[in-house]
Amino acid sequence: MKHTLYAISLLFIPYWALSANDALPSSKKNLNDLNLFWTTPFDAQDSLITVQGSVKDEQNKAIAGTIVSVKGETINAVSDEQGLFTLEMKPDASLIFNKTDFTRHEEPVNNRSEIHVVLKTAEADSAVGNASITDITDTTGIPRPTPSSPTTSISSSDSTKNDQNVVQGTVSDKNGPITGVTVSIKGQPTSAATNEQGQFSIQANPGDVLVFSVVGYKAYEESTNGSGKLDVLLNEESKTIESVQVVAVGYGTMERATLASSVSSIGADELENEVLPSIPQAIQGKAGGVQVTQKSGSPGGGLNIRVRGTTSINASSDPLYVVDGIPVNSTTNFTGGSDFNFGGGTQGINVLSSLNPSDVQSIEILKDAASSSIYGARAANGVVLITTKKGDPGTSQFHFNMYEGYSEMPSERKYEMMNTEQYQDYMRDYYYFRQQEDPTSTIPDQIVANPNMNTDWQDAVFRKAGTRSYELAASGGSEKTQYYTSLGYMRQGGILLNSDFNRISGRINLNHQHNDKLRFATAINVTRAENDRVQEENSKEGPTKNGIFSPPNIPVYDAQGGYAYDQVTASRENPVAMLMLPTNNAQTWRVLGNVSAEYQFIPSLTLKTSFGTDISFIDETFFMPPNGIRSFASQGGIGARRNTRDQLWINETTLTYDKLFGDHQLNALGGFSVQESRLEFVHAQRSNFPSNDIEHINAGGVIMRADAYPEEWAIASAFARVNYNYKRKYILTANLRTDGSSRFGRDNRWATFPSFAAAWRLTEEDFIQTIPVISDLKLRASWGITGNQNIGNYASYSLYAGGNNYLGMPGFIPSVLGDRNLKWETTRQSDIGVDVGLFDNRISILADYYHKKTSDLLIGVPILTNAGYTNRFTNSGDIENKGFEFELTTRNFVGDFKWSTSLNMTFNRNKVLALPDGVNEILGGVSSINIAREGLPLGSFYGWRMIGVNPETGMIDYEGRNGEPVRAEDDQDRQIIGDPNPNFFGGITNTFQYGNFDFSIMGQFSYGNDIFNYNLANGLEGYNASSNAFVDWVDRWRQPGDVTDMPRPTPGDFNNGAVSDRFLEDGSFFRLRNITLGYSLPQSITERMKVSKLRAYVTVQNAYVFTKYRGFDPEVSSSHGGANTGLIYGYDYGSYPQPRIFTAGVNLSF
Amino acid sequence: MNTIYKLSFAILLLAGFTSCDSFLDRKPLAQVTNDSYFNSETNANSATIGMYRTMTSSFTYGQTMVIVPEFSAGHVSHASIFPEYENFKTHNLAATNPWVANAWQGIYSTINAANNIIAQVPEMPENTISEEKRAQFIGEAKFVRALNYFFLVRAFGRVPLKLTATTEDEDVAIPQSEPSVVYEQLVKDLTESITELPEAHETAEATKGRATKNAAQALLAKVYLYQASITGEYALAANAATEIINSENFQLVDNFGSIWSSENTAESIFELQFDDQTTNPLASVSNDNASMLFYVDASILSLFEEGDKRQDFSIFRGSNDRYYMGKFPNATPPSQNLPIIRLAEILLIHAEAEARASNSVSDLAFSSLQKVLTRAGVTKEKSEFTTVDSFVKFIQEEKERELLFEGETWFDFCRTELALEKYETLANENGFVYPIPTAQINLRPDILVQNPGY
Repeated sequence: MKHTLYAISLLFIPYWALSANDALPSSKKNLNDLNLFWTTPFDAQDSLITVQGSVKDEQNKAIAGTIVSVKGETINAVSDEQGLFTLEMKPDASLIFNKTDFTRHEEPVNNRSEIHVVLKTAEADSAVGNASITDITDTTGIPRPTPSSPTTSISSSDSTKNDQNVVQGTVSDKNGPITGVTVSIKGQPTSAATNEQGQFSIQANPGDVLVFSVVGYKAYEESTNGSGKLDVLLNEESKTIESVQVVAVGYGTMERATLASSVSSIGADELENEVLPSIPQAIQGKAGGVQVTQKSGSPGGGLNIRVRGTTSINASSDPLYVVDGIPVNSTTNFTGGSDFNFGGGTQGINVLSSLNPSDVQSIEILKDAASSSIYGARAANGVVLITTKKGDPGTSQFHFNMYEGYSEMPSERKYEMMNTEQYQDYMRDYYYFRQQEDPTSTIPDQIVANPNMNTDWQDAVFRKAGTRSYELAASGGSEKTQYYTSLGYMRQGGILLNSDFNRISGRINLNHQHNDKLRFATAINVTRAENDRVQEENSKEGPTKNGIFSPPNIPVYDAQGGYAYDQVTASRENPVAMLMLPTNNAQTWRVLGNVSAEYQFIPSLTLKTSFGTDISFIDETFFMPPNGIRSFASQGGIGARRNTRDQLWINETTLTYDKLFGDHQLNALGGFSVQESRLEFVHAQRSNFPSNDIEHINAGGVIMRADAYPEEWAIASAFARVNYNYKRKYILTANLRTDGSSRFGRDNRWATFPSFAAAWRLTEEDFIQTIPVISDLKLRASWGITGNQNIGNYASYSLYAGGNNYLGMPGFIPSVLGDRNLKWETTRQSDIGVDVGLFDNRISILADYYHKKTSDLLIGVPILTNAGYTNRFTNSGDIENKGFEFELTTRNFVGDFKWSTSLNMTFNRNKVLALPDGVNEILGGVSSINIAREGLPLGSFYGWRMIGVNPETGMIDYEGRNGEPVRAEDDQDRQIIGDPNPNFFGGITNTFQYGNFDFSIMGQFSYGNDIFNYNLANGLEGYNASSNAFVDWVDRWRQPGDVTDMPRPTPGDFNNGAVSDRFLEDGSFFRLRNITLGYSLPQSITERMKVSKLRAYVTVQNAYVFTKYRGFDPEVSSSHGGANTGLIYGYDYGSYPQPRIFTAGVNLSF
Repeated sequence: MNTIYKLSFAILLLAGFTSCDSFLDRKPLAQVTNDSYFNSETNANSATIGMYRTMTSSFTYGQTMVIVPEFSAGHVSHASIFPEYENFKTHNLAATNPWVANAWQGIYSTINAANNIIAQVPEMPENTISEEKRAQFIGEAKFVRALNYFFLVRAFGRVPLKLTATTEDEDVAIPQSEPSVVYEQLVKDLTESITELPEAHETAEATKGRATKNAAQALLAKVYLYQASITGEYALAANAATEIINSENFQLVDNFGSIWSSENTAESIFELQFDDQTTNPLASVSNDNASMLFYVDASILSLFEEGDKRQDFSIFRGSNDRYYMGKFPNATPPSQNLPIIRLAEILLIHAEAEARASNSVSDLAFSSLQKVLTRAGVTKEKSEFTTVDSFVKFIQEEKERELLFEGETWFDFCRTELALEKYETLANENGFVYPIPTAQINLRPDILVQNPGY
């Protein structure tokens, strides 16, 4: 309680600040104030797009010198001699065209990259044009005094219209007239200055060129046109793209320019032209410091996301996902809370795949502690903010997007197996050695049968599968009410037989301005995602793990049309049967809803409260039929139904104060949040089904399980943030959040997470402004503390668990050894960063060095099992992640042919600094291949090191403790053999545009990581009595004296299959992840068709992977089941390969 | 305006103050915390029931504790020749073998469940539990603890003798005890439990499926027999066995196979109960069906002489010219009960102990053996046994036949060192015990000591 009070008191900051300064009138002139206020608490950030266009008059002649400004923004451009202009803006912005003697024209951008307008000659009263300049802020809905003087003065200038030698006019910027602008005539000494109303008067002859200059603005030249009147709008000195970019930072948005912390931002433009099955894929390869690993290529399958390294061993290292302000259920690998192990394993459900990526306006990743600590206890692994689209006032648009395509198994990624002749030769060898050990054994008939049959099991289990998506979205609204609504359908067939994913999603976002002070917003998203899963990784009979090793001399189907089986290895299923017969279906219904009200007491003070909910219903149907799957035959098959309801609600209230005091700008935020989550399972299971006909459990003869239980957790928080900047030059940010979580011990429930950041924008300094090369330069530094609470809901309790029945009576057993003092995992992070813009921002760089130290790890410390438990959850140990990351964007060509490149790279170094007392090492993974040991990267590979094949015995020799050759028997001979962490990883995107064509190519890479390829073990170990294996066996040892790297077959002997570097491979890769070619119909045609945009494109995803890795795909992360998997890294356990997907699609807007 | 400020201020305060702690106090909804569990007789009973349930898992009597010794005894094979099983058969065992670690882990979780009852039930207030039930639950826990330590001491030799319920603050690293110390504890636990346990439970099933006086007595006889290899006091085993035999609570059933094809026969003294929901993992993978993992080595057919009624039931020929274990017939669903102690074994224990104690093939000793032989349809004359040694050796071999696939032969052969004679691949007596799991030693190399030879 003490902690709460402490944090609550922080809320008073804005309150006191308000009372002290309330009397000050809001600065009339400063639009920045207005802008910041507006963007901070509420609105979405739009990523910018580049728009090019031309301005012509009614005679189709180019108009030079037209001021093209973005409505409501401080961005503008002036058309050149050809009437052409280029501007960066939000895709949903509107452009305003102002040119003396022409009527003001407003044109919505509607996501177009090209805009051509025709200006009409103005009526006699040219004041109209100028008055409109002041109109531009109206969209904000905030009253602003209209500067009346320019209008007046211009009106009056009409009277001097005929004075040939005097040119009069007004100089203004977005905010109104500018005082003190020097007006000179090019090549002449004559000059004048504007007065307080921005007016000037200068002697000039027709044809003279006037030069307007003032500090802080771009110099501007325009020739007198003989009318004696010239109104000019000046641009502020160039800023980086980022300087006008607004990024979401949690509980508000901030201008990129005055952001002191490290945030990666992915805008709608980067999302829109890509074919994305789910949101995490949008981040993949796009953000520095963020590694997105596809766990498997199965549609709708799980992903692994790490922001600046792995910080924990047993608590999840997944980031927090916040969708429109709601921290959502974001399990990317939901496997359910029950121990139901269906045939050896079920792949997880990516809960995030139930959101439609097309609804997303932007994604921000808060990486350093200064940005993320506003989410305190859940922020140690970074925060991913997802903002969905909103409607724009005064517009009405429809967007229709569709694509069709197909996925296939990249054929070059298949394993090369022995053919039947090679297989039978190998098997004869195998049984020769078997008979040496057991003279009574004989070679089974099946092994030598069908010498002419050559079944390719990889061909048998893979297929080409269709993929498609259709979406319709409508957005727009009036000044008071805006809407965005969408409906989407997506279906992705999996390349393994019988695997499938489809999603139907609908969204309504509504905003309503009740009056000047009160505003309401609501967002509702409903999704149904259906996932037909198949046995794959983690499943002992998964076709990709075991099935492909089926003997090549047995057919898929027998003569009667049933499935054929390997009779020698009775535990092997027919892989096609394993895919086709079982049912493993998951339907996820998800409702994401949010309502908020915002009340603006005075322009600088706003109270906002929101109520959000995220409800997922995951409904799974399992059926393992009695006939055809041998391991379930004796039970008569099993069927199960599992319902999971995961629901949370959250209430957040914030008070925001935002004000400019001369050169001092202050933005303060305080708030509190309460969140409650409840998870419920119902699981029913039967066995003994009469036949394969009915997959529902009512047909089963024996009730095996009937379980239901709930779990709950809750978190209560108070937080505050203060941003201060002086002249937009010196920037300070401080955050404080206090969290209380139900997941920790009573006495350690509360914790406080502070952070501080400072930045210095050198470009605002005079000495930098003299260097023309540098257009933007900002130094940033931050420090802060964040927490992690991603553990089980009741980990602090020692528990007795029920359901352990015997003799038909209820039984309870001691199930968990808890720690009543359990507390947060704490991460301290420092970050030093720099934002650089060079050559007029043709090159921009965001670079960061960070150091993260995580202590009090939430760790399931392995304890001696004679305790009756295998581990105990406690706080112990330290892990360090440090690294360097950068995002580089260059605009290589900006003319007719445009070429831009984005590159990001991350160099992360992970190290275990300390383990719990008395624990020298923690082993994890299958066969304990991963190790956590002090001084080593987390999850380093630990196994035997191969010397080679002994020419005398044909067995593999391993390196013993003293370098002597040994068998893989003594654990003490194991050593560190590899590291699953890459030296660096990143992504590169090149986009090209020429005329109406656009082309983009995106690559993603990882270098220096090792992978333990379990499939190599399967294909090279040589002790299974009937398995086919890799073609390498052709070069095996056959007799003493043979020198080779392939040993002999070893029936019943583990030695050659021991966990060793023999199965460890370099996992470096470069993937051509996405290649897209698009063509937009020229405007002349689209106008005739009455559409605003029509683009057609073709895409290849996962076009090619350059790698030395032998497996299906080097981007693997087998998890062996659960979400919090502990020490399992860089492990390929028969992962579902990533498909190559070809699609063709259309984007249409009207 | 002021009203709104005040109101919002009040809301902020209210939300801050209103019982954050109760909002955050989320006790488990479907589980019970350890410190509040033992508060009623029914809960104490559930803890006892749960303790038995732990013995049904595949790491314990559900599979590992039966099939692993059968591999060691050379009786069975794995369908896919998995080295992790085959290595038991070839007595070429690595300390990293997963089944060694699994058994260790599974058994100690049962022991911890028992220790919790032994520690907490005596502390329960008087009005929450009757004295009769209090004694019963403690007795059951002692019996189960003894049964499991008995397996551990036979399988691993020196083991940590943990007799306390594991708590959060406890250092669970305790040094291993010598087998003699473990046996002393077994005798103590069983002797105490005999006084605490009832003769019978409410139902016939429970009387077989839960510990009784007789079950503790019978286990004590077996424990004494093994302890006698150290102490030489076979009379204790003979006396304990005699008490069971003379109680006449148990009879050999005529139909040998009915012990497994039906449940809880008159012969059964302690029988682990499986049903549709508490399934027997071993039964589901040991029969002639598509799920088969374990089958029988044809070579062991020669164990039986012609006419032995047990052979056809114990070993049956199925598809693919393979032989299968016959003692797990109830496989669909796998609700096969597992008789852990039955009268036939007690008779054989008595025969051996009596002969050794009296140092003669006495009538008393022979008659016990003969009862077992007669039921099997085998006739032997007392005169065939000229020495005690030959008599004892025959009893060992008879036990192998009688208790085939019951996980007993290997330990019995090791106890009498007959194993060295029977198994070519067994180099020396170091092989009598399994290795301490590597992962355990790696955790506390300062405390745990590996068995010699590993």
